[in-house]
Amino acid sequence: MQYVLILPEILLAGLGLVLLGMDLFAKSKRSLAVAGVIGTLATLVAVLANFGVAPAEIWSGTIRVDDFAQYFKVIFLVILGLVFLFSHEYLEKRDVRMGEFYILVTFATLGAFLMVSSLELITIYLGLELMTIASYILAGMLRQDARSSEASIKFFLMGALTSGVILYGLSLLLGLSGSTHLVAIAEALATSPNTALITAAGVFIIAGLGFKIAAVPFHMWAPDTYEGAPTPVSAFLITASEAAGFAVLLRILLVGLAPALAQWKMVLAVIAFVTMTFGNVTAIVQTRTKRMLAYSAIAQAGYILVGVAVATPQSVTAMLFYMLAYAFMTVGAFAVVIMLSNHIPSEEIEDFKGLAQRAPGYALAMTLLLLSLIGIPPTGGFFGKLALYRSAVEGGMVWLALAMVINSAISVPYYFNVIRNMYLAEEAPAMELSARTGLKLALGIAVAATLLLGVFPEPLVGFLRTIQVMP
Amino acid sequence: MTLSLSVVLAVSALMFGLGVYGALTQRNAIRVLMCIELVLNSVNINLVAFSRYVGPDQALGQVFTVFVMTVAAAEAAVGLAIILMVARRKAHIDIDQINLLKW
Amino acid sequence: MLQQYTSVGVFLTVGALFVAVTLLVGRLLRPHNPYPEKLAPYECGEIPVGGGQVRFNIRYYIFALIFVIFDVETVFLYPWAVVFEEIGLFAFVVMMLFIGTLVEGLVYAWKKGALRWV
Repeated sequence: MQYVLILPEILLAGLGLVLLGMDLFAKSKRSLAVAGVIGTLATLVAVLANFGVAPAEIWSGTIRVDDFAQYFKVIFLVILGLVFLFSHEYLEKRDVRMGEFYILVTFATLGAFLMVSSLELITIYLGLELMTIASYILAGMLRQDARSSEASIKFFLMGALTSGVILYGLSLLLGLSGSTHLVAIAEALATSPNTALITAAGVFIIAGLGFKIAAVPFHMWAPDTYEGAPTPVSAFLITASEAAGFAVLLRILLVGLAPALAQWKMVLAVIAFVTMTFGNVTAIVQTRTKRMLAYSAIAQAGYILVGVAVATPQSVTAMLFYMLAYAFMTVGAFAVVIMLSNHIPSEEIEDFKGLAQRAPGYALAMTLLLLSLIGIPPTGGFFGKLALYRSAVEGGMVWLALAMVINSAISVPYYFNVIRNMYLAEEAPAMELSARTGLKLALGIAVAATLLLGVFPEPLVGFLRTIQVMP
Repeated sequence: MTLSLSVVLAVSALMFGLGVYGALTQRNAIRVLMCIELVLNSVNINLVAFSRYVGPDQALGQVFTVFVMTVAAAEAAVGLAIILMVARRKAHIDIDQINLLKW
Repeated sequence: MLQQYTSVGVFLTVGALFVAVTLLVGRLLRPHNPYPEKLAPYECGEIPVGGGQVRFNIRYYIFALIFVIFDVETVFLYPWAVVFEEIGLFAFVVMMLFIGTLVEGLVYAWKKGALRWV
């Protein structure tokens, strides 16, 4: 039944519309957050129920339901649920009583859903735009904060331009093949004599998607946007938006541009190398927490990009694993940042001073999440990085694997700086630190999942091996 | 009386180049937005041209164009609202001077 | 290929000449009698208050933005109307869902006061 296959999308769209209606009548926006969590769980059940069904295309091939799409949907829903959990307290502390936040973040997730569950250019484009247009508004949600407006306008101008560039590349693919379906495009490209145009299409699409995943040299908007945007939005953009970008990059490169894949592997490997190195080196000198995490996110995008560059089944498996672990550890770290910034609005790394004495639980959780971001066992980040490293060695890109190891070493100081501040700083301002249940729950889930993925990675890896990017 | 495909593509490529160049060099946010619209319209020309000259499904390019048009309108509306928000605060929209966020 | 544009060229030339000749003949024939009232914005005698180049209220833009979105969505109705008979009930249901979503958006904008003139 085709409607069962797209039940997750229907539920999520319904959730968005229900939240829209609730916003008009609900006095407290808390009910929207609660409804959001319930809707997310319902959608998650629908997604999980669809796992393992035979890949199917419905509505003339505009929607494709397979395990690759389902897996990404799980990642998005995890992020959405966690964001719902800790957003209400954050917004209320800043006196932003706008239900639009919950509505837009739901629709942005719906856009991400559409991006991953299609092999068809029009659907991919619509999903991309739904996600990014909602994100532009989300980034500017704190209207009384000039930095938020600035994040929004920068994000919008760069994002809209890159959407245009991607679109130009997509239109060339349509012209070369006479089809908007990636499988048909691959067939047409394999015999097409217009290699120059194929290369041009590849350049536009890869450069455009490079902007979306904030790969160097297309990253200039990212630190400003991630720093200025409301913190829950930064967490959403760094994880969900990036994961959706990677999913589309994988689909387009491994399915649509498969005939021309060989010429892109080296380019992507260089981009991955530059991205991780630039992100890590720049993160070292940051003094503001969110900006440090923004550069760290750029570096992490570099690691994940290794999986795309190597482009073997093993590397894709490693990528998929790492992206789930990355979602948990990053959103978890942002939960701690939000907890702290709810009490100390400055958002400097110095704010972490003495956290171990004031709130040992949060300090321990943050330490664990940061260890995972560095890639130290027993965490999901370690196992994911190890898998990426192995796949790079087996895929013949030993230099890239070495670059990953060196970069992990470079990244130790700035992550460790936070830990040092938490545990070793002498003077600690006496202040009661607390958070509501939602944030605690989100942090707990993130930490538990990060540990679980590090200690028992085998079941998930075994499942991920069965996932096919290709139809 | 027909144009060849390459002429149409050349026009759209020119528009695309102008749009990207303008978007990267202009300082007024509204002008940048107009340049972005130029990029999207160059894509529309491309799509319509392909649906006219490249088979087999002639409607495909036009369908794509309709979607691009509506998305472009939504994007422009959101973009203008964001620019308005900045303009109310700063009384200018010179993107070189929107520079609070630096390390 | 350029020959294909001959007719366009002829058309342009004739058009330009026609305008030029008409304006010239008018100038030669009409009486010449300027006086200041002729330059007033409203020749019927209404005296304008304030300058013509005022700043418009920012509310105009919000109306315009909302208008643009709902205006462009109608573009989907044309292809739908063309194939409506072939697809039948399914097309009807889908379009009603689409319009229903738009209506909810309109209600939302309305309730939030975006359509209120202050």
